[in-house]
Amino acid sequence: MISASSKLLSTLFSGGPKIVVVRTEACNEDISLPDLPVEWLTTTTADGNVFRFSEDDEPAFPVEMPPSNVLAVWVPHSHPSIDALKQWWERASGTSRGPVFVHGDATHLIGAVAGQTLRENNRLTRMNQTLLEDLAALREGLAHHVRVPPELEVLLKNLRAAPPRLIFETPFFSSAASVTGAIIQPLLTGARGILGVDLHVSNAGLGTGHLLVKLQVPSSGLELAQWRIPYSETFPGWLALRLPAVSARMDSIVELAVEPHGDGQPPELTCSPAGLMNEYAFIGSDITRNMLRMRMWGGFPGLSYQSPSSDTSFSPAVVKISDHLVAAAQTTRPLTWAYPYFNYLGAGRLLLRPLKVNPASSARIYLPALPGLAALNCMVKIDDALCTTKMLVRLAASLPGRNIDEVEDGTAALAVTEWTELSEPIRTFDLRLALPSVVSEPIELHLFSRLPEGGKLDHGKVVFGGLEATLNERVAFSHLPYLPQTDTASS
Amino acid sequence: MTVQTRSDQPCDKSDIRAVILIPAYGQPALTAETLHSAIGQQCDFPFAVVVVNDGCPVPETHEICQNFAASYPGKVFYLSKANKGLSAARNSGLEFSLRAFPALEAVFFLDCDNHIGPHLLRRLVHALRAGDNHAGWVYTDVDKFGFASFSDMSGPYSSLEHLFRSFCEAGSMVSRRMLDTGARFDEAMLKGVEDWDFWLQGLSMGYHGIHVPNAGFHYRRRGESMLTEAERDIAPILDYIRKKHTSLYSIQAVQEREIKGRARYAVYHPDTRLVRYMTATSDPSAPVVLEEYLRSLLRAAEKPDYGSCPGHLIVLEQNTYDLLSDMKLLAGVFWILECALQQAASTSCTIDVRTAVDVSLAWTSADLPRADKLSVPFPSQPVHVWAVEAGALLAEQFPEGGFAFGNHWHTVKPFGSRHFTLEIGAPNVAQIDASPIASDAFTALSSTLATVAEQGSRSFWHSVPYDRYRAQAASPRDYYPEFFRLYSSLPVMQAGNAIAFVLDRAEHDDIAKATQLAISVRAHGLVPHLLCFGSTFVGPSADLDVFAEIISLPLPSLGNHSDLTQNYMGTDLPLLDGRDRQAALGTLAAFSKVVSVRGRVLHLLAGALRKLGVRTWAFIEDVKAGATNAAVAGSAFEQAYDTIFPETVDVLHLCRAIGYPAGKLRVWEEHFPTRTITTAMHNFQQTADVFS
Repeated sequence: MISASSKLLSTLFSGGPKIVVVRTEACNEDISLPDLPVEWLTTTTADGNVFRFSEDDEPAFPVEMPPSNVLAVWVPHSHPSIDALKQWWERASGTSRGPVFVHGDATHLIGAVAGQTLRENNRLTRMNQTLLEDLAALREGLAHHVRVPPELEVLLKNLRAAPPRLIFETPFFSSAASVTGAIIQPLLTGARGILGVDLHVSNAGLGTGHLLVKLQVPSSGLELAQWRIPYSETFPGWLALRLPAVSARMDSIVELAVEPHGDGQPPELTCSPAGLMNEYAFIGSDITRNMLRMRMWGGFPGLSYQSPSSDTSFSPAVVKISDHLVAAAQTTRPLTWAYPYFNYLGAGRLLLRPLKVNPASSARIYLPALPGLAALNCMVKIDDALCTTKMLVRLAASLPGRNIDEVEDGTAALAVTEWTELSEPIRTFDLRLALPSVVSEPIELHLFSRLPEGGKLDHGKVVFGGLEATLNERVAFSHLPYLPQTDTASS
Repeated sequence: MTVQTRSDQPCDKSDIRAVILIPAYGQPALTAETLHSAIGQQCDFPFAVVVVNDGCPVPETHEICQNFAASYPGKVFYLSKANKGLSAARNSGLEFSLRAFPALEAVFFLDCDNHIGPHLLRRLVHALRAGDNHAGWVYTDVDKFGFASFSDMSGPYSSLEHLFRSFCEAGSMVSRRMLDTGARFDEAMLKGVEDWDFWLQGLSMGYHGIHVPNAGFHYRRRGESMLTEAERDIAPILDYIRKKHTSLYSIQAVQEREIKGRARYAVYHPDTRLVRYMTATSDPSAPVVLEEYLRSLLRAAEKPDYGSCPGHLIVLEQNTYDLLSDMKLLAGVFWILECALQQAASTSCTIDVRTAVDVSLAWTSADLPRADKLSVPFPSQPVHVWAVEAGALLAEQFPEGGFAFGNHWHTVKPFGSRHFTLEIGAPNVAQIDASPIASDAFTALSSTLATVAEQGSRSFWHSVPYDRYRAQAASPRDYYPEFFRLYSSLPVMQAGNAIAFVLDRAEHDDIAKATQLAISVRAHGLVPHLLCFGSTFVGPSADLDVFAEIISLPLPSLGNHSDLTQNYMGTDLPLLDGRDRQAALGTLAAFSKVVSVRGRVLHLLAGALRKLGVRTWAFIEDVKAGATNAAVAGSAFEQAYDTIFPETVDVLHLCRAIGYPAGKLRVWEEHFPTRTITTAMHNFQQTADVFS
């Protein structure tokens, strides 16, 4: 029905208001165009069936849709007929909200466009009013009707009360290298829930320069936080960088940019091989296939862990004991049974069946150095709904390599719990082992299970899980954590 | 070039380099968000936004599109058309963009409820510009919001994976060159998945995709959408796509990609500590050290890189490999072990080489029951070849396995292991040797795996809870069952020219006949292979030279004690159980032509092979015992063959008398003349032609 030259195509479908003037091919008469703020398009037709938009006899190609935002199609003379064009327009555009089709002089056109414009004005007024009412309803809903269920509020309260958690720690190798230049380190987590990052400094910086560390979103270039650490304030050990509040942003991918600025010798940051995952290696350095040695801390989005009375942000931190450490647990007594009494069950859970033999079944988990380790806790249960025997469990902590009997009786232990009775099946019991003083070196966590004396049962199904360590951050760092130097988009 | 820091300025239309094409239908409020993110692109080249209203009955859709176009004239272009579906809307936008913007390089498709980050267009266009001439499209990771999740589309593009998994979102960028070649959305696909079909068009045109990590594509995931609707109707949609793209989904085409990617076997030689990757044994990769292979295996369980790590590990010493290769037995032995792994957790083979006048093969096998626990023990006695699936190897080392799925398939297989003994007779045995795998090789393999795992911090990375949906080793199981209802298929190089001569028994005169036929086809550019369905094989060494590979496939159903037989009009025919039938079909499925020579087993398979696109031929001989039995047996399956070749005029008459359609009867010498055609042969063909 219509054809257009490539040159005119983008004009036909641009968003501005237009009026199409229709004339016969044979007509050479000049047409006086009224003074209206629209784009004027001219189309010619020989028979009222094919309409052509082109300039200077350029080749025209069929177009399957009518031009957009056309206010009126105007035929200034009595010819040609545009009935077919009108029908096609409605059919091809898939809508009846098309232009007005006008025959006659400019007065007719102006009248039709004025009517069309008034209708459009009414429509926009209605639309704007609807929008205002929608927004009012939304505000009212937020103010009065949107309620968090009470159970959820209790849960949120508990979550807010929970300490920050270590959500990631780079595996560390003693042969690690160090890096000083500008690098970009991809992070393993998204922005939501991040409280801060610890970087490990192997050698302190010197001079008047400073290290600029930026937490940013690579896909948008958005900077979530920026820390500025003078070289003179760096020293070997963990360098703690914290957000003023836990990030609530939803960005899936974030990265850390580290840049030395100014004069002097930048601090050397400890690296660790990226192992199987080179995509998490930092970029920008001659040292390849390495990532920064770092720890990431998380918490409840939006929550500030800063004490209102202090500008520091120390609070106990809870670290999940990694599944791979739990999976490497070993028994510590040469007990035998007809089938395995000890096994790793996956997801950080250990089976340790108490057996009808003395002494108690025991296993140990090696824990690498956790700075400021203050307590250990786990969950334990009898994983057998039909079991009616009450079983006994105990935790102990010792330095590596101690005699297990001496650990169990406490003489070689850093700390040991009392025997705790699992008084009913399936129910989960919490065991907490508080250390008398914080420990920052590797230790062994010992698990014990035994049957009550005199019972008939030969064995029981006891499962330990949910192992966590509580760290005293005040001891872990020898320097106050850094907060971002500027307002950020972090919350 | 114009530098654009903000996108709301109109561009010179003649210099627009990229278009964001948005088909609009429904959800007008979300469309406004989508348009807002589209015009917010920060690019160093001019771009435009083209929105196509697909006849949406909701008036707000028109109003929002119109308003954006009016507010950003020369930047946002608005097309409104009658509703014809998503594909038609995108095609209308494509036609408009190609015509209106002569400098156009690429088009990004953005659905009207998704968002894009401000740098997406620039990053994708730059990646496309940096690609080679076959770079057809660029895709990125999908960051899902609404129901939040993250889809890891990372890793190099794998065309093999793309055949069975749609990992390039509609929200990707197509190159001008691919559009100019004619790629368009299929307007008949109204129920979704048209984007997969579109990229497959590009693949069939010789283009490939490029992955750009984290460019900022945000996909709105809702409870109900066109995608969830498509998932309900996925079976007929996939059927449609595969029938449409036969050039991609024929068994030969699929296998060609598999061979090119060397994605099936990792072949490890303990004596050299080298590993080669291969699918076809005649096309191995350059060797890599064991540690590199094990690293790729461990990595395959963590991040997507389909095809980089083969799904099977085969262990044998270098000289055993050379012996089997020299005797053209390598492909067959690997295939037999792969077939055994369909039923057994691991498989091994002891090879006994003896001096003999002829080449002979004799297979025996024994199955061991499945172990109670999850382990796949290494062989305790000396073996020459040992094979296992990569998932089982990982599961043996690590309790939880490693892959997101497929680690413990071995625990549901009927057998714990299958051990073969292969007796090989050959002339000049003094010059050949096959050493068993050194007794400490498996311990060394295990300890090296442990070391590589530790060096790569495998336990740490494995405890990180990221998306492992696409992290896997490549396995025929991923696509053969779904595409072809086969477990796998014997890899055949240049399958388009490969022809298999199939025997039930392989003794002197059988092989001589096959050799005679093979010589005649070789002169016509075909590559003959010899395939025997049986556990024994005896043939003169000289006769075997003509064959590219010799495969002797023992099928238990055909054993001496099998009671699986059937009778057709007085003629005995074998039967195959399901497993053997699958193995036999897989053995022949990739050949372009198969010829039954003095055999009846192929009769049982020919129909299924034809359906897979294999040309099926039967050669009926005038043997001393009489051709009647062979002709009668063949007549029960005549419909499954494309062509029947009677050896003589007498057999031709016999075939016609039994009822073979005359049009199927051809003369071998006419098809594959090896010398001047004699008058007798000419008359023979004329006799055949009279009835055709």
